[in-house]
Amino acid sequence: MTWIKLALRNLFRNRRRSLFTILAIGLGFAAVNTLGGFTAYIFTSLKDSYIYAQGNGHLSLFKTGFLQEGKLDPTRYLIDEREMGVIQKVLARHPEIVVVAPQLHISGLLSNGKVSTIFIAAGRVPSAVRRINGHARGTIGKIQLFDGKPLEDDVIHGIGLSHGLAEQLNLNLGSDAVAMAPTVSGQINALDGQVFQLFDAPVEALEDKLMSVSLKFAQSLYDTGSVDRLTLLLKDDGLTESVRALLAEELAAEGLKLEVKTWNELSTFYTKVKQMFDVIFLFTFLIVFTIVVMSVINTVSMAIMERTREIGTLRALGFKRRGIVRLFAIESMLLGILGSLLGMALTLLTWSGVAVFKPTWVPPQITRRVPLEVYLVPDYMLYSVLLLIVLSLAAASLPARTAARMQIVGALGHT
Amino acid sequence: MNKIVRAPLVELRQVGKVYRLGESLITALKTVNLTIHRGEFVAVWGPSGSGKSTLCNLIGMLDICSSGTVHFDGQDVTALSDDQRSELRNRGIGFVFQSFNLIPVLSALENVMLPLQIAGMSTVRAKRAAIKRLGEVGLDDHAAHRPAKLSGGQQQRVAIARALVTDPALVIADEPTANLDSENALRITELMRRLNSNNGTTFVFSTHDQRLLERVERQIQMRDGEIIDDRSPERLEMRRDLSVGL
Repeated sequence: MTWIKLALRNLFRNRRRSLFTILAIGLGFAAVNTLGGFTAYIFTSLKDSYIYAQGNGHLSLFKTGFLQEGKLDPTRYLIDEREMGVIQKVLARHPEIVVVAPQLHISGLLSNGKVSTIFIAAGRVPSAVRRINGHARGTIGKIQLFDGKPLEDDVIHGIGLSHGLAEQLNLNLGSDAVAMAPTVSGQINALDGQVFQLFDAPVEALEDKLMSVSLKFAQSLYDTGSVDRLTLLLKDDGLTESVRALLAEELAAEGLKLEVKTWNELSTFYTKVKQMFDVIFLFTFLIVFTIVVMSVINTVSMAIMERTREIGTLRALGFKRRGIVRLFAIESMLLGILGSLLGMALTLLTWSGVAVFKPTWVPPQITRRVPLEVYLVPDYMLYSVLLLIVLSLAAASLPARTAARMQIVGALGHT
Repeated sequence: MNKIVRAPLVELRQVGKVYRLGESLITALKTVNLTIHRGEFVAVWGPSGSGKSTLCNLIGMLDICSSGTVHFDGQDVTALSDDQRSELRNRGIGFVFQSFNLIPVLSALENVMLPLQIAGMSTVRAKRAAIKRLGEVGLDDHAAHRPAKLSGGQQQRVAIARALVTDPALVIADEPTANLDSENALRITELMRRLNSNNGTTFVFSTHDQRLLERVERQIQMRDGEIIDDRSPERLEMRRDLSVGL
């Protein structure tokens, strides 16, 4: 007979109570890990959406000061063709950079011939954006974020409008519009466009003013060959920080005053959502583990009360105080282990259910239904098991120590 | 019958025990002096509240005296730490309780193995020793039974096997027959008597039962926390003289 066997048998003396405690631990485990798996899915989706689906890549290069002062004096911070050449040479040394996509963000007025309204637009190379889209993993790469047809590099007049902007100007797919903006030299310029696509703006505030155009359209409207940023897609998300550091060093060595920003520095939405989910996760975690601790304390305290005479007997037979603590510690540890096993099974069940039934949902900032997923995160599971066992042990330690300090005679006389 | 060796196993010198009950102090044991030798079969008797259980608890190191000293096998146990007393109890003293106090989730065999496993003995060796002891109390065919499946008499025999499994120098039995019918009470007393005679194990037990006292060679009578009669020395002297004479 081992002490583990004795602890296990003691645990099932009051089956119902132990079962409820194991159930509480198991459900707590499953709740935390399912929420953890869902938040992991949200974070990954947001990240992939920003990097791949929206074509923003992992890194962006700007002229130093553009992000602070660029709106006040855009021409000052443009990257001209000579600088582009130098940058391209530096980037060519890095095989881990798989796509380089230059961009020029513009703003001006969009007219339907009768009324005009302001717009802002990212002028991008459609083929480069599609190559970035093509690197997306999972479902995010398969989702088409617009209605209509894609923009093309050489079809300059093709434009995309956010639904709000299109509604405001009563424009539909195939409608013609005129974009007006001052050129870099200060002249007013106008360019005809045809609505190729309609899409949802990623931010509510931009819904009535966001436009998507090809780089050539943007450059023609601004009458320039320059761009304001270069978007880079890397082979692997994990390379982001190291490549950023290397590029910053090498570009500075070439005499270019450029700053390199990572995707998460630029995606404020991702950062805010992550912070919000981290807080929700923390609260859930605290609530669940408080329930676990209270359940274990209750179970062990009740067991001690019911088995006081037995504790006295064990002490009389020569069990030391630490032996009593150890016995109850093993019991609570077993509660933690069994609860965690149940929790793993429930988490796997939830995960399988989601995988089989493939539910869909409409996440914030996206107006179409997308698949809802729950990831299995082995790290979360491992930490949960360890934490639950440690918590179970900690929860049992106080009542177990009280049991160990009992006077033997008093315990033997307990009825 | 074994010749009684007159080496003191237990010595109580000026031992007193006072309990605190709220604000008041209750004297459970006044100044008691007592010597128990190896191989003795001793009954402590007296009315309820006379202090016999307190005396047994102090001898068995289940409690600590408020004054005086308790020596076990020449060692002052009042000076030992709780862990040291636990080790000494495990090694040197067996206990038989009025309510048997078997562990309900363990089989008869596992209950008997328990003191050996507390001492750190391997399961195989502990099992071998426990089976032997269960055989001695006539319960080898009930080894796998849980206490709930055994009668009161059988449970007490398992408890005796458990008390003896470590080959202790002393077995303390607190009212071991109180929860048994007279037939089983007699059997248990006979069993303890036989083990005392065959193994030379010292037995100290408290009882109310006058019939059992007739089978005991040394009777310590207690009243109000004091020993008021100890009829052993003369008998022991007589026995010693007889042994020497033979």
